[in-house]
Amino acid sequence: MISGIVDTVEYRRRDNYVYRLTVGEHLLVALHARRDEPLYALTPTGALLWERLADWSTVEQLSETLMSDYEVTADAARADTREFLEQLAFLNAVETRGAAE
Amino acid sequence: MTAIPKISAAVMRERMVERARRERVPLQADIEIIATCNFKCVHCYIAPCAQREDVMSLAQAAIIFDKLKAAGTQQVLLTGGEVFTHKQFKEIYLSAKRHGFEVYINTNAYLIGERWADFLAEWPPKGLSISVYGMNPESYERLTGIPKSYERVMRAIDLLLERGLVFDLKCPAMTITADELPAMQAFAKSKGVRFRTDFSMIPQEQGDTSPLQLQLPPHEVLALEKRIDPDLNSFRRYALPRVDGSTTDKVYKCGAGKTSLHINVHGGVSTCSTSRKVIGNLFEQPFEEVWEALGGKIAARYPAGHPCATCQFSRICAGCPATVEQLTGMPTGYVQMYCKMTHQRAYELGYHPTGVPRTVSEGIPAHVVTPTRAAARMLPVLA
Repeated sequence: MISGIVDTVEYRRRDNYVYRLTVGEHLLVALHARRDEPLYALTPTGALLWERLADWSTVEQLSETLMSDYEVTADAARADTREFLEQLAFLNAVETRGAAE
Repeated sequence: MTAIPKISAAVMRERMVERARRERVPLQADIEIIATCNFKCVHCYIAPCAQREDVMSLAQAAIIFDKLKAAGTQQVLLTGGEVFTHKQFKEIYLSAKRHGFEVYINTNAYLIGERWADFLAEWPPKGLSISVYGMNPESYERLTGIPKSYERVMRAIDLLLERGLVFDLKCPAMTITADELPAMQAFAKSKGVRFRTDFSMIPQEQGDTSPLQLQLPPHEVLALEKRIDPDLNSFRRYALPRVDGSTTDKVYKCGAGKTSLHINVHGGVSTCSTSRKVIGNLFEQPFEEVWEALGGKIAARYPAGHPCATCQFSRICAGCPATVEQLTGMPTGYVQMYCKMTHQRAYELGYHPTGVPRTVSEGIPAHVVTPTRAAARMLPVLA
């Protein structure tokens, strides 16, 4: 498991970022960003998970979302989900609830 | 697979702009949310704005934002008038941010005190551009017509800097600001912010041509540019990829109408903030209809025999279709003053042997539209 991301915890996106799809880019626009801060782009699969993160979701539920839309193994989906959540956590773009293992 | 790609913002922006150009997506929009201003600047093209009560409501702004978002817009500039005089500015600004736009603001900063500075620190704009009008109270007030405007703006600048906000300063170069522009540039440098200037005066929206009296003649424009940038390095960098000996009869060579548009306080759409010729209305029409009409406008070509159609400096011209339109009534018009400015710059950079455009010796073809009589009376080189 990638550090910090716990399978029993539920995750939800924070409202400090807004997702946009424009000219083919899945953008994550930070509402409180200073001018020199970067504009974040998601991959299409990241965008899919971001949409799912509107509701509280576990790693397992998010992985299932990936598997339902993409041909990917359960292990790969879980690994990608954890990595994505870790990146969102670094950006302070997700909140958590539930007990950690 | 689901990672947030680690590519630089500059690379991604370039990719977005390239695709927007290719597919004609309105990536940027200027939105005039209010015509009212707390200054009475003598050069203002929206004037007399202090007396006007033209305001875009929050509900109207939301209509615009929804349409722009659906069309693919990513950057919006909120401008006026003076945006901080708008009673719903905070709500409109936050609505724009929550639509996922990168929001830019134009302001004279007069109303930015502690509270607005704190608000902007909490919700930083992607860009903030502050108009400045002099380096002492007397010259400032002579131009803005408002007592204490210099002190208020200088305080606002300090408040923003104290909060770590980044912004640009800008001032139009004209007869009454020319002497102080180098000092303004030095001031900006001392504060660690960028300084921009612009050399084109245009008539007021409602037809008064008096701002044109403030237009610097071409030789003074060049002299001032050399005071600000002695080797014209900035212009040299701009010109290098744009002067290659080729010519084009395309009138619009910028992003106006291709990747950007301007929306006035009544929902009227034009190519850019300089052009006041409205081509459609976003309060009344679908975006696609207005965008298509704008596309028709920017597809314009110069008529045969037009001096600009065969000019190798048309891509670095001091004038643009919008400024030419404001002076002649037509984007396909011809303004010799801009031609002279451009050729003098080209001479300084070694691109032209004399710096004198051929229309000076050969004359302007009779079928080419030139500045209106009212504009010509005011412009320095045409009087």
